[in-house]
Amino acid sequence: MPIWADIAFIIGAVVALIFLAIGLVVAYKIATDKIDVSWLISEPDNGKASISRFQFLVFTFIIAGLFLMLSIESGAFVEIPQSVLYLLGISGTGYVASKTITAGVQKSAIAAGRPAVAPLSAARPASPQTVPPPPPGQA
Amino acid sequence: MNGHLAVDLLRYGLLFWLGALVVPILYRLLNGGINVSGLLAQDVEGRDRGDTPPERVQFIVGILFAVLAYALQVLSQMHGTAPLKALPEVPQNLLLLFAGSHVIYLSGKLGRTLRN
Repeated sequence: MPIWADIAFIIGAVVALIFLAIGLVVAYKIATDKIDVSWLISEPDNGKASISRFQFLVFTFIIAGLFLMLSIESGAFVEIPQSVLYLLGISGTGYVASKTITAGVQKSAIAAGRPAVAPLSAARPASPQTVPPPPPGQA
Repeated sequence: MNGHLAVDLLRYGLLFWLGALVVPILYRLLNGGINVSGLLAQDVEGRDRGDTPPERVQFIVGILFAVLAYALQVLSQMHGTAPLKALPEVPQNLLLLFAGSHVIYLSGKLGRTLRN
């Protein structure tokens, strides 16, 4: 039934193109600053850059990029050996463990009546979404 | 529609998309568009808050070394006679170095937390 194979191929290609277009729109908005990534590796509460977020970001991009390049070269999804999964597992576990320690510190600070977080140097500005709009007529 | 053309378009479109994500983020990391202040600073409450502890420095050096070493290994094996059917194995020493770097960093962070 070659007609069904053609229909399946066309539907698959259209769906893939739609996802690709969505991805490209996101990339375009990041490149033109319509999606703000300036706090991408910062802690949400005190604006300090997080080393565990940074390593997670680097690792995801590198492994995803290598996987994609090899898959394109070979024409099929390549296998991921166990040692690479260990590497990704260590990276993810390190991130979670680091955040757990930070959360524990904040919890004990709150229990002791101290401020849970204090900015180191750069305080994170309020997100535009959290700023209330001006009343009508005063804009 | 030519099937091969569509598949190639999607393949290279995906690679282009990843590049379109990575390049602006890398550019902003380098020119200060992404906040990196305090990346190496101690974030645990206490008297050494804001200092640069050695375990954070070794951590960032360790992860960058591990990532670059693995990427170079993959790139050097990519241009062989036949395309690779799997990502290459990570050398045992590199895995140990990476895990050790994480353990030192987390131990340091936990130790400073308990001390303070």
